[in-house]
Amino acid sequence: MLEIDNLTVEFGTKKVLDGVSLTAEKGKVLGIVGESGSGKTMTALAVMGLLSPDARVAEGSSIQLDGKELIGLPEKKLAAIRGNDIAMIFQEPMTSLNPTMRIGRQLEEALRLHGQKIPSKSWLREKVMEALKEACLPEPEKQYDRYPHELSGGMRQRVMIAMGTICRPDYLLCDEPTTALDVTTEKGILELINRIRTEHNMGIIFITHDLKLLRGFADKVAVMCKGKVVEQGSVEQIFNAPVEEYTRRLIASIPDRQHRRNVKAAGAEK
Amino acid sequence: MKYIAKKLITLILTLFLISVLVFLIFQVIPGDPVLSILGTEATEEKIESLREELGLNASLPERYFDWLSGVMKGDLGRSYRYKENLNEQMAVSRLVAGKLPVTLTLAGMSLLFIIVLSIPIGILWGGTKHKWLDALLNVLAQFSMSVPSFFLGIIVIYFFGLIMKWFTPGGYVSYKEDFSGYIQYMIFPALTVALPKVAMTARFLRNSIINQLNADYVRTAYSKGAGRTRVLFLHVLKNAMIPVVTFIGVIAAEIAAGSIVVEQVFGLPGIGRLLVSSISTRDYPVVQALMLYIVSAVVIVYFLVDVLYRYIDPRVEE
Ligand SMILES: Nc1ncnc2c1ncn2[C@@H]1O[C@H](COP(=O)(O)OP(=O)(O)O)[C@@H](O)[C@H]1O
Ligand SMILES: [Mg+2]
Repeated sequence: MLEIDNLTVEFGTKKVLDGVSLTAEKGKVLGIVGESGSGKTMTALAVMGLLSPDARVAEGSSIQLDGKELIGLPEKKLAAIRGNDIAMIFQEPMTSLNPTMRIGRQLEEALRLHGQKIPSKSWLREKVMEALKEACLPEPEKQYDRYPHELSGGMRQRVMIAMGTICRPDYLLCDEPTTALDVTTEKGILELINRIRTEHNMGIIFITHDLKLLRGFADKVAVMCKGKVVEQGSVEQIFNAPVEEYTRRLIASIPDRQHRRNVKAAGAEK
Repeated sequence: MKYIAKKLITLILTLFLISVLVFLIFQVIPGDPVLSILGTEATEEKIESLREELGLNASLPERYFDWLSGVMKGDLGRSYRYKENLNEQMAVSRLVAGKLPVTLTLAGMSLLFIIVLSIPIGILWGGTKHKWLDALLNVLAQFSMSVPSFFLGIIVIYFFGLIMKWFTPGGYVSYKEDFSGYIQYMIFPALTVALPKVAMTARFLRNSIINQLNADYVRTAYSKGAGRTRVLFLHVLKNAMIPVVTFIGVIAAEIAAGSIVVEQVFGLPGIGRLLVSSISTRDYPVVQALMLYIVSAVVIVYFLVDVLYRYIDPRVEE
């Protein structure tokens, strides 16, 4: 279990996260939804221990991975967890890969970093190729020697997913991985994440500002607003009986007439 | 390969254009070369025969191609001022050939110092988390950039020559006489040329590294479990070096033209001093040859930078 408890993060006197409590489980998808600037990325970065140095995690905050406290862990130990136990993929597929390093080498690095025994170069290559194939990257042999700029956004996001899951982490944090992609590509990426989750019993934290992506995908949804979790529940609860006005507005912003009607009906019942 | 071929064609065309310009400039400069050589009291006959000999009676394009084919063969004309012997003016090629190696040695050694010193310093500077080290390097860089080069030369002579006694100030020996003594002496003027550029380049690299450390791919590298040192050397450095290569190229082009001040301070017979004296005595063939060298050197250095780019930035395409 990945348990975030009372997480508070400040920049100077500005609280960007205020008592966030969330729980992710292996094999399940926790969706985090909220408008831009509500603290979704900060939450994920805090879990990774990758907040910028001017951010301060307040006293009383806790992030536990299977009962082990991550906050305050020395950098070396955190680095051993990153990529190996918890991995993250980011919103910007265009800039998230190193532009001057070949795709294959960037994936290899994840394997090299986590002390697995590497019997030979060909073994390394095979492992990388497996991960690329699993991520359904077209022509993986060819992409292996390419540079990121030679790939499309969707392909790069598949590379990011392959890289994030190559060490079989228990949890994968996905920070709006499809926001920069078109709708068809988005669907493929969601299917891929879901498939990898079931195959490897991975826990997913899926961050989005687009609530509809979580239908039929997330097991649980947390709604964030201004650094706080304002509502939590199953997807059905959130969609059909949102308690908060803010959540209702998020649902209403979905361009789907049927839904807006549902939401209005739910609001009228109150 | 296509990229390099394209750059090579551009280089050749540019060199051709340069040769036309350098040739034309010295056609429109007032003053008659024949009179400059023979003096105003020469006889009509002598003037006419020298005109014919120098090819001055031919048409402009003819004279250009004549001149160009001479240049290709290493014939740069004859100096107005320097005499080979009583009857003959000295060949410009011989004059320049005696000085150019000194300038090239100075430029090459300076460039070596710049690269070898500025890159480690820049990495240290850009990668450090210590505020005091950042501040210290900043002060040192500001200092070496703001000191005028003649004064820096004097400091180098005073410190390394008079206090440390590592070389004899003013004791320049030609490479023809004593090569290792020559190189040993050249270390100090090269250091003088290099120091301010080391500061500039190191600071440029520092800024480039700090810039890159904020890039998204750095966050990705950390999220894979990479440590700070690995991120700095394996991911950031190559990306940070891309603009630095251009920067060093500009500096290399600048120092290839020779440093008049440093040559003067250290008593080196380089082309910097030759250029100044030739301009002041209107020794146009020499000035022309030196101009041709300087501009070509700049263009060739930029060509090399372009080629190098191809190897460090995979995004550079045809
Ligand atoms: N370096 C920073 N200094 C101060 N505030 C910041 C900094 N970085 C982010 N923030 C603030 O933190 C809040 C949460 O940001 P973020 O987690 O990126 O939002 P989201 O991912 O939900 O769009 C935003 O209001 C943003 O302005
Ligand atoms: Mg965000």
